[in-house]
Amino acid sequence: MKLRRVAITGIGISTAIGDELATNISSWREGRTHFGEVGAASGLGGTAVKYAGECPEPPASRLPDRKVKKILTRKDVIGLVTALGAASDAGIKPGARNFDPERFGMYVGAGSTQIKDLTPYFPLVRQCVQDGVFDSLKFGSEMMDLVNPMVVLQTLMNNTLCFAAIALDIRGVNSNFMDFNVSGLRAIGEAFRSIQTGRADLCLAGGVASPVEPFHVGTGVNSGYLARSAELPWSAAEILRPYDRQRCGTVLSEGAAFLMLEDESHARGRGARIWGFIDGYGTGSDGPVEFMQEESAPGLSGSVRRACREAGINSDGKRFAADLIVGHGNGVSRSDSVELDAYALTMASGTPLVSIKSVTGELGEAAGVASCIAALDALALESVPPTFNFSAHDDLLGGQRLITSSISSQAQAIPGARQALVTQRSFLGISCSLVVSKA
Amino acid sequence: MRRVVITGIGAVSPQGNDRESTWAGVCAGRSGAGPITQFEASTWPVKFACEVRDFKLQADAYLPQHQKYLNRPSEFGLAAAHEAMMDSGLLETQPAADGHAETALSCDPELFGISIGAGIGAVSPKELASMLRSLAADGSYAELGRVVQDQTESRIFLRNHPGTLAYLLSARWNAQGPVTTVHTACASSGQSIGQAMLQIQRGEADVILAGGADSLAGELLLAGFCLLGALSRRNDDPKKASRPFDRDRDGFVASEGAAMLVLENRDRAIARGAKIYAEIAGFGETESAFRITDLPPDGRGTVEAMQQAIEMAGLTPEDVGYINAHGTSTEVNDRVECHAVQRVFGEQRMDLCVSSTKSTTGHLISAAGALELMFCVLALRDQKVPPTMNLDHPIPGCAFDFVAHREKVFTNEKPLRAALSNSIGFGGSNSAVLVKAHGTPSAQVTL
Repeated sequence: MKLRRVAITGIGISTAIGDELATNISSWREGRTHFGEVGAASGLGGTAVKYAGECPEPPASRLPDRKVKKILTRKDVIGLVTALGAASDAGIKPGARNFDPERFGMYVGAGSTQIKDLTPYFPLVRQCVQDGVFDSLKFGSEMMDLVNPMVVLQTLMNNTLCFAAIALDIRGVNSNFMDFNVSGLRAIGEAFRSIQTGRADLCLAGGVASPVEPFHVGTGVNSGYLARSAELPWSAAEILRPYDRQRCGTVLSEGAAFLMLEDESHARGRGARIWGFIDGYGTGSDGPVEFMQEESAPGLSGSVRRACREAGINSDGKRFAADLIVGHGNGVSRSDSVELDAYALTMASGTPLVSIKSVTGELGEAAGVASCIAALDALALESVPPTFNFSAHDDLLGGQRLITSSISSQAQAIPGARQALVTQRSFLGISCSLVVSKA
Repeated sequence: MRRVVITGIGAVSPQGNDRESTWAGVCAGRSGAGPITQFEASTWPVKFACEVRDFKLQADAYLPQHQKYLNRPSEFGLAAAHEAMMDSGLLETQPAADGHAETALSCDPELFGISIGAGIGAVSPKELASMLRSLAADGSYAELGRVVQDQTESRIFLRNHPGTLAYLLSARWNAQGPVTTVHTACASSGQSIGQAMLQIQRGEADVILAGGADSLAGELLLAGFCLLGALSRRNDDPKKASRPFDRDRDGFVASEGAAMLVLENRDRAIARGAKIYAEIAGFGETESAFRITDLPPDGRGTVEAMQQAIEMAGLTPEDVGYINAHGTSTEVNDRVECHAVQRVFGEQRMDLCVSSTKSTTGHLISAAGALELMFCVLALRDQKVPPTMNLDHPIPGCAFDFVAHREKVFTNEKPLRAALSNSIGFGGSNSAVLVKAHGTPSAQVTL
């Protein structure tokens, strides 16, 4: 089978920074974080987390139908607005007749249902719990009168996919991935495969997350995944420190990022602007590794090799020579360590490495897609953005481990750069890697 | 393009806690519906469901350190996966250094994957109870995060995340290849299996453990579907409640369980002398979001998914002898699906068997597609198809054999050679997975 070349023809992004692409990119380059204080209003009163990234309220005017705001959760409103933004950027609008709906697909990496989405149940559930025992008889007799009947529809985790499909008349291949933080990059990868192998002509793909809520934060603090920002002497902008010796956990952020992927000939046929291309994709898993106790990341190494091999990146037989890596780097101690190990095994020495998470925060299911956007920007400008808050590796890394990547808190010039590797890990050991190239 | 076969199957269902008892139950038309036993439901608008009963998870189905991550649907998934893996013959016994025997997977871990259709979680009021004390009288939850944070081992988020089961399976079976969780409501496991098939075809994996697990029989989810009005309220006769394609249908019956299939590169399976159940030869997926719970009345999306699966398999509609329908027993779904089948297979196909096993199993939501594909595979193996129970007054105008009330046995003169499983999800995702008898040439079938 002759594989088709896959172009990126549209970009949409919403983060705490805002929903303008240029504003997001300049913030990543200039180190302007938009983390705000969180507390009781988000169910986080009394937690060790003081800062998180929360999106501005999406304007109802950006929705295809204002009524959907009554049905959708905040996460899905953000996802829908961002997905439609990517489609609009690509010049894809319903009824435009510049695409075949049955050849138009969509892949989403979606955050899970949150406790805040179950609030319609809460007043009655609270009445029904006495001394830790749930009175299901009382609940059953009163729920039809006291609980919003739409609650189950509001909490469907494929709502971003569903409502974007309705708005854009998407009828083709589709899926909704729930692979934690790799879901968005997985969505891009699977959309790439579908277009490459002729199952679709174009696909909207990306991720959406709204993790600033009690379960994510409580579990994250308890496990050591999140920085205890309320107890640290630093400003909000200084907390997330990818690959740095003083890293102390990550900072959660809300957001969405979507790309329009398209068969190159289809894109050129309709005169679309091409932002770049996808050249390779790989996934992998660490297998029997405990949450937050990993000693290595074989899944990441495997996914990097597969993506680089497919992309035709030069190799000495062991290590690949990409022009840069936009890495997972989320400031979690073990995760950053094993990530660097994986690059030492798979990537040529001196390969520039950046994480934009010191500025964006950990965008969860949207994170890998935001990194793709950063990679496209870096290739276009031939300049790697800084990894803010990185100053030096720690003893563990410097002493026992071989660090081969080039990380800097300053921008690094990469003249003539063509291809970038983008990686993302989940905290349960699943990894995705993607290679993008400049237009 | 590589071909893909099924070499292992496991299941947990209201009919039984393994593959064969489940299959025997649906073929006998034995309903799994009964009064809800997991909690007191006598005041609920719906007082019955299809529950898994007498279930106990074997200790070697998961890693002991993962006990803290288990919930009801993931336990079903682990058990079904364990049965499928044991059935596959992929485990080899080898002598260990200490003289004891140990089992090892006869597959490169990097080419072994997991693909799961998982439900929307199973947080129960009981589980929430320790945290609900922090709720204010109006249900607000200003300090709920602190309550979760301060627990000794805060696992509620991971225990109830749809993606955790895939992780538990990848850890248990050392799968280091593609690990995927799909949630597209009722189409989840149809799509997860299709995804696995494509990954093996493309060479990204040699073996993938694929399927689904779900439980809709817990309080909050059951309440949600009660509120939506999607469930049958035939409280006086639960076993007659799920009646797909019948005039008097009034909604689906909540259910739970899991089904897992081992998908394998056909050449590899043949080379190792594996038992091969069937070839998974076609997959179609479409999106037909129209309104969130409704299908387009013309069957769009369902039609194209079936056509894609048949085309990918190199078959024609005439080659397909059995469709395990999505057939939920809801008014709109059954009517539209019948119309869609007519559009693909023609209006006069009395030789085409179309049955809905949801009449006995109830609706397993994210696990439905996997369980129903298992029925298609076992139908090919045993040359019989399970019945649609409670079908007393079929939807008029549909000239299919709905296999009403009693299983149908095929003959040597006219064997069943290919079968199709339909799944239609809330949110518009549709999948169709086609299996055919192993050994059938890829581009033609002789009936």
